[in-house]
Amino acid sequence: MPVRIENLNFEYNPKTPFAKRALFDVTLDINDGDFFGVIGHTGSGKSTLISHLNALTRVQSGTLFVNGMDLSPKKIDFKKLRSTVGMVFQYPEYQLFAETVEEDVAFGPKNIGLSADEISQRVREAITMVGLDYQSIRSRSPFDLSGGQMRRVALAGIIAMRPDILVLDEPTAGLDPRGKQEILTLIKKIKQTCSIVIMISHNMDEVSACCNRIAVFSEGKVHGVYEPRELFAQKELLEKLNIDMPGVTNIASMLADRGFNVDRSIISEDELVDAIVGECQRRGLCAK
Amino acid sequence: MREITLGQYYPVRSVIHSLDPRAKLVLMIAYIVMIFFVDTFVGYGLVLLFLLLVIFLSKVPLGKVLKSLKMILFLVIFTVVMSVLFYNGNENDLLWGWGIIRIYSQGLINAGKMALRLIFLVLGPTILTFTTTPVQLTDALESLLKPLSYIKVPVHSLAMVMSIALRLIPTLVEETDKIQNAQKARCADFETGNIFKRAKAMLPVLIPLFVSSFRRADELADAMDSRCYRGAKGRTRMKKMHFRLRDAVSLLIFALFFFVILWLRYNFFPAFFDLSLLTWLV
Repeated sequence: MPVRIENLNFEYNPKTPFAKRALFDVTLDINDGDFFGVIGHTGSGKSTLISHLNALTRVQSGTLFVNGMDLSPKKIDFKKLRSTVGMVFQYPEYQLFAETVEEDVAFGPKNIGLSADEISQRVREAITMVGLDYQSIRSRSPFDLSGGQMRRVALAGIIAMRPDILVLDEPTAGLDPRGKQEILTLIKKIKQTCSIVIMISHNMDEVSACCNRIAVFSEGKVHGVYEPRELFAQKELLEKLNIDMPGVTNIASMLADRGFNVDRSIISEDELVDAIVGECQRRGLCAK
Repeated sequence: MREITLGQYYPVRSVIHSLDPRAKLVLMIAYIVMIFFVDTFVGYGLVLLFLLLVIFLSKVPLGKVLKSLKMILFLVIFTVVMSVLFYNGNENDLLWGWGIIRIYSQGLINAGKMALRLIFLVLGPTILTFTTTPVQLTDALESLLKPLSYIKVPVHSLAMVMSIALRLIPTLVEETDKIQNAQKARCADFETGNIFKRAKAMLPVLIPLFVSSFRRADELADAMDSRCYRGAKGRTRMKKMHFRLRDAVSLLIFALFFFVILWLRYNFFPAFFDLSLLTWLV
């Protein structure tokens, strides 16, 4: 079920000298099946927007529907909403608290009020899904694990609630390249079990590799919603918004600038390699 | 949670703001001692005038200063009620009696004085924190306690601990906010249930908070180490405190005022001017 946001406005500390407007008339439609990317600079309103999605931040003006649920009224079914919208914050490993991994992952399902059987089944499933060995890790303390493992456990804690919409705020921040790759692969796998994944990221390689639609935020406003190829081929727009290109697109664009016949909207390594090899062959630089 | 601000520094330029924090700290302590020597309403009136003058000079809005009294409102009311109810006076002083409840006029006067004393006790430090930043205060404390370092009291370390603690309060508040949100996103419920249930519900917030505090302390210690921090030895200050003429003048003015208060109480010069003749001084 989709997310519909219309003319959403938000102001921090309203009616005080510290008032700060964070969102200006944000209108977005996120459809079933979307892997939705949200990009923009620090302070552009991305985090404020996503914290609206599970009512951690309440709607001040505008409308917001998640799975047909209106989030404007004061009283809503928080449990239902928060088990539908799984939220993974930045550095989610800092939320771990329980004595064992198993207990920590069970925290969410327990709060929803599931039966003990259901909980233990979901915990086992979630831990296995994030690529950890359930039997060997279940009774270990989450604080003894490595950074990457802790993040996986934190993710498992959200997955165990079986959210229909998964929201991720910079899920790969602070990991090494390999850890980043592993988490991304994992997120793509999780995508198959939920209908919408929304991801905030500053890493354009990740955004271009995962998302099918990307919202660009700038100073609290939605600058536009693009498909990855459409967005990253627009060099001038990216420069104006001060957004990096994905590494491969950057190479393709530089080649194109120097007169090579390479498509500027390339967003994957394979495409780039094919294009370069094709161009070399055309110029007779290598054998067919 | 985000609304909590510790240290209510009011950033304007004023004579009071620009005084040496050490002078202000000493004045504040002397002021507190002085309050205990006041025992007449005339004395309290003088203190009030003095306070109003200082507040006026400090350019802090009077309303803001009075707002800080809200915290002790309950304490004041409680004290007044208790001291009125339990005052044992003599019977011809009785104002009103019903059963075991007896209210004496002397009891009322005493309660009034007690309330004034409490209020004035709070107002002094309030003005200090409005006009002095927490960092200035810890610096002043360190400087004033320096003599103790000759008897091996780690004054510098204590001051450092204090300023780090003050510095980290906003960070901790922000962190609490974040963790609380993360647990709320996992359907944690902090708002319903009785007090025990709620206290238990805070565990998933407190444990990560402790863990990250220790981690942060570790990192900070490493960072200080790698920048060759080794305590007070040979350390200079970026902002040096200067004891200027205006500090001396303000100390002098206060000393005079303190003397007047003492005179009101002890009637130093009965031959010259006998205060005890003025019976209206209560």
